[in-house]
Amino acid sequence: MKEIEEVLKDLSKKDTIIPQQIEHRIDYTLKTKQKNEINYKIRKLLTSTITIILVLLGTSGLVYGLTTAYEYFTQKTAVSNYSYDYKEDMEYMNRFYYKKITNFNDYLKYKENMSNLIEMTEEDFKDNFLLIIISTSPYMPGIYVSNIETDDKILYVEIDRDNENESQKEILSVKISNTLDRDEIHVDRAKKIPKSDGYVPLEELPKDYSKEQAVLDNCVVIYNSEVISDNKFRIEQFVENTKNNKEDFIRIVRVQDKIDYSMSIFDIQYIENEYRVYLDQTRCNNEKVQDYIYNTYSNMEISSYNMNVKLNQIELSNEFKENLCVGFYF
Amino acid sequence: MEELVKKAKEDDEAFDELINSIKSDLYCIARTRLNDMDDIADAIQDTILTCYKNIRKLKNDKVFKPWLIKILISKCNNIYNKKKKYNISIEENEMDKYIEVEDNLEKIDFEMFIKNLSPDEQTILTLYYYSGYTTKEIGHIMRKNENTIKTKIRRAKDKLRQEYGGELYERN
Repeated sequence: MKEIEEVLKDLSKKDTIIPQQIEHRIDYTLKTKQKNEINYKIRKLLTSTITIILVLLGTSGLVYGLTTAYEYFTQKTAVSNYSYDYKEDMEYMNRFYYKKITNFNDYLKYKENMSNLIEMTEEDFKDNFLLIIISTSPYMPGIYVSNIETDDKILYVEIDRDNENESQKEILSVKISNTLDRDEIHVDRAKKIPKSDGYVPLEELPKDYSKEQAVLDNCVVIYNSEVISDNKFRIEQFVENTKNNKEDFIRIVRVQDKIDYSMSIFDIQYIENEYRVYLDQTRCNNEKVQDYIYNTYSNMEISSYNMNVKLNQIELSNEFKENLCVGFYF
Repeated sequence: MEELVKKAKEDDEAFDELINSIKSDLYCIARTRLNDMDDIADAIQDTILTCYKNIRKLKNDKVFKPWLIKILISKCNNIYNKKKKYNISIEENEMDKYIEVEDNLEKIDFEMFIKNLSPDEQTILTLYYYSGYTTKEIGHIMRKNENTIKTKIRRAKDKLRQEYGGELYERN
């Protein structure tokens, strides 16, 4: 038997596979590092200038002036670096930060920091409140509220992306009537569930849906990293079609039972230049993941790794830095 | 490495090369402290920017890598503590999704092998076995006594022995 020492040494010699998401972020950081540094220097210069100006002010205004300048600076910094500084002040949900503002004074405070907030008056706050939403992603293209719904307790705010919006709004502010005000706010991405001819919605599949039935239903079935359906070619065909901007749909069923039983069903539709993925994990033994998950992605890749044999990985990714591993197959 | 650090102080391309040469280490170490991929990316991004901002101030080029790892660990701890403070769920280990192909130990990798240890133990083993630092250097990086590091390595190995029992590691 190998000693733990030997095992650790052996394993440490293996090459590490850095996830694509991390690689992208490192590349992005290296490409933009100079811009970041220039911004930092400008801010530093601004602070120094403001401080010098304030020192020149009369004694009576000095304390007040310094306080204001300090606030202005930190808050101003937060505008260009909101992803680092504003997190502490806002609620977090589903990769969005949000803040509900119910009075004019708070609004003014935030407006100093976020110059592009929607215009509101003191009068407006009698019948409305303001919701500020920031995506956690530094690559966020334009976002907008696509729908607002309520039940007795929760205000549901659906956020969608506007791919054609070149202005790339970083901060979204929404004036909402008090009649829609609820105890809780739920912010999430708008769901566009995939559909195709003869499509049976995931929710309508029987609870005891089996891999054998999935094969009969023409799904691509990956069982313990082996494709057991005779349509393995569909995986590469789907990726190729979508790379050529051709609309396509695939249902991949991933079953594994070596460690613990789990069945994950991926409906992937490529439409309007994006991959809409609806994932059913309700048949997994792990209670923590038993859910339906919806997301959209901009890229789908099949990567090959040479382990003992060639292993392929199907992975989706998007500009939100989110990756979804659909599965591995030999 | 020292030559590259020297160049990186003056030249952006050399800086990129320097970061690319140690990105595996950065990723492996960040993985020992954080589970969420976004958090890991944030920590590495912050570390690179801090490094870029301050590399010219570094007097001794020899200590570049330990210096950078110190920054990284500090960034990771900040993110972890902030999430904890604001009660944001610290997500399940995202690498768990890769587990299904790692169902035999021929395919397992270093970070997966040690993932059940405490964050400190994982970082120390990573620095010791993966990055090749001595216990003294690790003590310096982690601001801990060298003997504490030695004890932690011994305990971590004991835990691994208990966990894996050695049974899965038959000699070829």
